[in-house]
Amino acid sequence: MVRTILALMKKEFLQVLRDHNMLRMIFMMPIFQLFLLGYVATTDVKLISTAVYDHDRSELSREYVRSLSAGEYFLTDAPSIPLLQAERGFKENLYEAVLIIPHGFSNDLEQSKSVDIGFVVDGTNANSASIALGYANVMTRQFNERVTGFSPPIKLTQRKLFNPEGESVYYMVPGIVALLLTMITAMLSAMAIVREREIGTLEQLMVTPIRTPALILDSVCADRLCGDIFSSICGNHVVQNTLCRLMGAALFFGLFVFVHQPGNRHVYFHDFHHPAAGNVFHLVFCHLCHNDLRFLCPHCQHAPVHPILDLLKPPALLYDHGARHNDEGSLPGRSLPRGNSHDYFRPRHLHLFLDAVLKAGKVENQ
Amino acid sequence: MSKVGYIAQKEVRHILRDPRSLMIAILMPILMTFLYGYAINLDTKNIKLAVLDFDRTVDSRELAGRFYNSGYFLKPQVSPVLSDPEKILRSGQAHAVLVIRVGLARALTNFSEYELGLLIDGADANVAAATGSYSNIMVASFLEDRMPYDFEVPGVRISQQVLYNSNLESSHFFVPGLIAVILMMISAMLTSVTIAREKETGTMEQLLTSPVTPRQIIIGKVLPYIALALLDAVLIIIFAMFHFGVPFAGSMLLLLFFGLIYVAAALSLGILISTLVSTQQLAMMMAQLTTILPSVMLSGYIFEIKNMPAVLRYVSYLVPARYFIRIIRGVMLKGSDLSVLWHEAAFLVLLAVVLLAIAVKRFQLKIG
Repeated sequence: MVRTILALMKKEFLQVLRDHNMLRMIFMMPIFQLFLLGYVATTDVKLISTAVYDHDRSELSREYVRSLSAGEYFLTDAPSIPLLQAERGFKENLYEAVLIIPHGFSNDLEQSKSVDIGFVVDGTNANSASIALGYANVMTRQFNERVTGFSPPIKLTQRKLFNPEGESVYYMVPGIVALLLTMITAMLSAMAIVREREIGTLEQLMVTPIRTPALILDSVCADRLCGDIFSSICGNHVVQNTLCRLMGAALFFGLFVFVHQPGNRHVYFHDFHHPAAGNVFHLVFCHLCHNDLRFLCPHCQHAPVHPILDLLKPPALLYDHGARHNDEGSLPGRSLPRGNSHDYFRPRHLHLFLDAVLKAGKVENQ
Repeated sequence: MSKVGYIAQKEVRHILRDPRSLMIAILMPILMTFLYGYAINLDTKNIKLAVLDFDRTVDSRELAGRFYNSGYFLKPQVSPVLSDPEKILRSGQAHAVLVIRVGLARALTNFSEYELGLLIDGADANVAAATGSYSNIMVASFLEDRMPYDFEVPGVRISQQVLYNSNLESSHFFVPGLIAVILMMISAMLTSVTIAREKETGTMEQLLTSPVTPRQIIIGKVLPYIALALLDAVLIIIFAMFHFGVPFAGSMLLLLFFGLIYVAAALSLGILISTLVSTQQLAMMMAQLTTILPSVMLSGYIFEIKNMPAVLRYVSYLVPARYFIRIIRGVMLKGSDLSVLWHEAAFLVLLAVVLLAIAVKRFQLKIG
């Protein structure tokens, strides 16, 4: 079994290496996509262009506008057109928000009264509209405390865990790596088998004493390996510190070969909790995926559980204590994580999945 | 002209006799509409907020109730043994924890200093920011109601109004944009694959030796896909309107007209790709790489263009979807007409013409 798989792997590698177009695709696709995604995929809401209609034209009203535009959330230099035609500006995408400061703004404030100002947002993009409203409210509260000197006795102190600077890259990149791995490897392994069928070599393979599972596992494994290595390499261009990550990738490669055992098919599906794969494997991969080990758990110094799960799980599960500090003091990393989304990645489900694939393949061939 | 008709007829038969790709062309848009309409949800609603109430008074319960009744926060199932806010966040049971220490009721009656604690899971920066600002608003409004009746809180108050999508539904934002993505996918991918297929099976030579000019071949091949793409567009619009309740404020005719121009640009891209590659497999991958990916990523469909690095911002000017998405959102949500959209329209027409010219030229060169 081992030798069969190894031989098939060799064939698969030769095939990939000799197809230059394919090779180019395998290299270029993940790098291209990762760069694109790494830079583009930010959901930050900033630089909301805002038209200001200041009917008060006083020192205070100007200061209010300044306090809004501080911190690059609002850009208050949008071209203003007559207020009666303000809707046209929304339609032409000249600005996303309009701020209307009424006459008597500074007067009322100086007399410690309350003033209503108008804030109209373009709700087309629901997400950024609601965040913009939130920002405006927070800035206004700060302005109020500064100007009127009145601050409510009850305060809300906030603290952010895990990602205090609020960098969306830290959240996105691990997810992107997982996404690319899934996409590329699924596509490549599907294509490997389709190609065999297309050029007619599948029949030849079927008459050899190779069993179907071995064949499928093998093409999955060889292509997955290519996908893995390249995406882990390019994953790190985006998050700096390239050299260290390249070494990590090499190590990753070595480990992959090391844990390559027959019947150990879970490994190819990134089940790093499999006893044979062990936690070294998973730690290395997590080092690759997460910049500067930022998400290392402060309690037990464990890296995140499953990079591939980042897409499916709530953010606070970036590391999972439940799985580690569980019953009878089992070795960290050996136990399968429990509950919710992890279940889909349990080996028995993969068996079911694989069986279904094999059955489908058989029906097709008859 | 009748020659074009024959080629088109042949292509229609190709499509009809391959039910699987027909299913892809019809079912995929519907599936994707559902998927994107529900799955892409950048809404910062339903944030799971756990409240650790150590005060246990009417006031503290009212404050918690205000959070939950706002529609932004959800009460999660937190195991009662957890009383450490950090542990609650780590367990993933909540995105944020509000800690109400003992003494809130007393502080409210005699206006003494009091501090509420809010611990936020910052992993998703966007949700964290929203959680922070919503909580501030909640606490401020709670306090305002507790002020003495004749006391007016001094300072600026924002009276806010949301235009076009007053319920802030994110499906209204994503579903119209999806039309642009799907049109690009159907047009570019299917055309590049159909020409590559002729090459792969060797029937291209047969076509070329027949008394049909290359131009007629292209037009004939492309016509059925234009029809298919427009059918898809109408399908998605119907779904958007009747299932997701997306308003249609503008003119349908205008939208279909721009759809046609956009499809022309997409088809030209597809033809261009097919002149570069020789197998269906590569055509598929190239189409995905050069048309669909930019249409999703660089068009402002999900991620805003203004947040991108300068280089990518300039690249995005070359993506037809960028203009079409603006047009479609303008027409559907804002009811814009040509007088405000002429800018985008002009760019789209220009791109389509240039792409079409290049595609026709490349295709002829290839034949020669």
